[in-house]
Amino acid sequence: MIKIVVDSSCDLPDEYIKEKDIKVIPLYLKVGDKFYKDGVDIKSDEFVELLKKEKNLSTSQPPLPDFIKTYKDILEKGDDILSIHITGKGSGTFNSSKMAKEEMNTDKIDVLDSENISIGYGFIVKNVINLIEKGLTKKDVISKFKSLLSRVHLVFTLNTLQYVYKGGRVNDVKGLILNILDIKPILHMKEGLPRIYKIIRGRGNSIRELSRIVNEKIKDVKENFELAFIHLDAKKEIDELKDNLLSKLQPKYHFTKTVGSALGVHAGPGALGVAINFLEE
Amino acid sequence: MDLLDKDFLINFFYLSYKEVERRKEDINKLNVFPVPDGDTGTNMLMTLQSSWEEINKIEPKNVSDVSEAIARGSLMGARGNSGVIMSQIFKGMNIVLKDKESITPKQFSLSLIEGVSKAYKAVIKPVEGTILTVSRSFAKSFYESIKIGKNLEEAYFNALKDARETLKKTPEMLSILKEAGVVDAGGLGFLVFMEGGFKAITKREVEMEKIEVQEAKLYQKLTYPYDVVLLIKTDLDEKNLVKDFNLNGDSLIIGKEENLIKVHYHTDNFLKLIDYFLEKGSLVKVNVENMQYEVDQLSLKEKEVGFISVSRGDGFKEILKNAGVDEIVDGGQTFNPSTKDILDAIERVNAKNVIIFPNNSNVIFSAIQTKELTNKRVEVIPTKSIPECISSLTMIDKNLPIDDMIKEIENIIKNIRTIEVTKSIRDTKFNGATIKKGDFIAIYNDRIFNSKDSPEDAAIINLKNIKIEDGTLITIYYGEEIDEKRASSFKEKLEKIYPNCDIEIYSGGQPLYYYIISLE
Repeated sequence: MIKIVVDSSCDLPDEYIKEKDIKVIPLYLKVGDKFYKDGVDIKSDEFVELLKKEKNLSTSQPPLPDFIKTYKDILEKGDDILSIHITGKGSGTFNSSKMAKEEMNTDKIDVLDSENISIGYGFIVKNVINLIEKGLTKKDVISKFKSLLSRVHLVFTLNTLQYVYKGGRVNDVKGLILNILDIKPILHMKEGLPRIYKIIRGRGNSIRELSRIVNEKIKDVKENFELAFIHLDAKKEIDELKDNLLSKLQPKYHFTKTVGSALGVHAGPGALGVAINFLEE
Repeated sequence: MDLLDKDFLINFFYLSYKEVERRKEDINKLNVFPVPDGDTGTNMLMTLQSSWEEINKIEPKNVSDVSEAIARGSLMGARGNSGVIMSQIFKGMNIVLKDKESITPKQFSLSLIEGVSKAYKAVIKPVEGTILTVSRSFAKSFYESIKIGKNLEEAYFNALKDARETLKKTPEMLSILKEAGVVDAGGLGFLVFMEGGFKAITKREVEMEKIEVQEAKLYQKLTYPYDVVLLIKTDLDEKNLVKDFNLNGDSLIIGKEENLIKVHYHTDNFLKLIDYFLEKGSLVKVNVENMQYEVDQLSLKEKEVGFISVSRGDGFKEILKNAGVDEIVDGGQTFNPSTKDILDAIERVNAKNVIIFPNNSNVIFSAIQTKELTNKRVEVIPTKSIPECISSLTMIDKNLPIDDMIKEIENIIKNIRTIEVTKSIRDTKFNGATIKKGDFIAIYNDRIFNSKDSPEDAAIINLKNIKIEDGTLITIYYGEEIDEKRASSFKEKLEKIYPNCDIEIYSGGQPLYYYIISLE
């Protein structure tokens, strides 16, 4: 059997993770010199509070032993492993999982880079699981993997630039002016990194633009797509955006979820976004 | 030849680890690559700590045991990128040190070579100008000195020197370091680690050349741009001269030169500084230099596209500068700049192509005229208000080719509506309404509404006649005659009328217009 291993940044719904028996390796949240396991020591609702309160909050890739332990447990049961991770360009997690594989010296583990984050990454995992359930071999899944990446589109907007500046992971926001002119950038993933897609002034405008972008991307697709709505401390706004989009679009499946800490630390409270997953025929 | 035994290696590692602990914050401060989260030193320390704990868990019998423990501990405890790289170095070293009772200096140096090579292989895309480069430089120099017969201390000292030189060159290899004005944090971490270890070789404290550590400047905007040096003739002594000196700034240096006193200071307000010292004696010489200019010149290459904006008001000027305007030409309603003023600005901008925002219908023509008078390509966007310029510049992608940029700007401007609130300078009739001299009037396109009571009322009457969708951004720029408190209460009033809009207020500082309000 092929077991799927992910890291805690994939933002898939808990029920789904349970149903598909996905093994999750938690990232770490770092407060000063203290470490907490994302989603284990700190749950998502506690995270928002912590984020608002704690100035020195950052995330850290899981240490090697966490990978090794998870892999060992699975291999001992005789299963194979597909370990899929948050974009290697934005995090050392992918690199560490490769090292863990090398450390264990087995070809039963394969490590894949989703080149995406949050539920963008989550949808890619979901697509891999769909292929496995269709009966594809691990080898076939891996050879198809690259083509899965372009099926997923994640766009999101921030309500404050403070966190993305501090986090330093979005290079091109450096050119933006901090906290004046009510700048609300819309970001998307490009070549494995979050990049500015468009700069908008005004929260209302940025959410409207987000809605327009999603509509435009889906324009001609009638049914074969799924949507995920993600937010951090912006329940009311994401619900409005969702209602607005669902009045025009009919996704096969959709869900709303709070952004996990991996993206949350960088996006800050008020971040919200939509991921589109174009399904195969 | 002296053999290095397990105690040497334990001692070496301990001293190295402690040195990193001691200088952790220095390393943190430099951290800009790959992610500027300021934790390189902390991560490295935690990695080393884990190795140290591992050594303490066992009773090592030989070099092999120690090396194994270091490698295992660091692998398990590796944090962050530099920690992971350190752990790979130890892992590589262990390939050479494994099964050794004790080692020769040559084997020690070879183990480092192996360690560095392991680290390069472990990183998917090795980047030069990082800990990798610095560690390689050390390992190579160390090994080569040993090979030509230098003793351990000498070879190690040379290697430290070479690694330090390499570290200093990291900004040349990695542009992000150069921009931030720092050397690589991981590289410094490695050097600090090795410097600690040197004490195990010399068995004494060693005076090292200090690496200057400056906090990474991600944005080269100087808080105190003016470097002021002044010579003053005064009866006061140095101490009394600056007794009640409390001007914001840094780098105060005072020295006596014959019968004069020399003062050096960095400030953002050199006029105040000069005023202060004028009261203390007579100034012999004053030298003021704008360091920001130097910094900008250093980092400023000729731009593809430069931006010029015509504007009045300090608030607007500040906002426009922040939004990316290169040159501001003073001017606006009743105070139109000449073609020459604009032309001078065009020549000052360090760019091949120039986009001009006239921001007033009376200025558009003079701006267009400059096209014939310069060798630069000049494009005039017929903006009629400053908010059009501000929003364009904040929202466009400044890396686009100029033609695409203009198209995008035109699209943005289409969605911006501007209302200007001022006072009528004469009696007039407009669309059936009678406007008296001194009435407050709000103008939107060709619609004018007046109020005898206040500029706010005039604005609100006009706004109520415009269709404003939910989610619209209303930006209020208040003029020089309005204070912040009054502007804030106007904002509150609008928030009640438009609860589903985003409302922002800024000081524009413009004359004549109480408010300039944009809707977008």
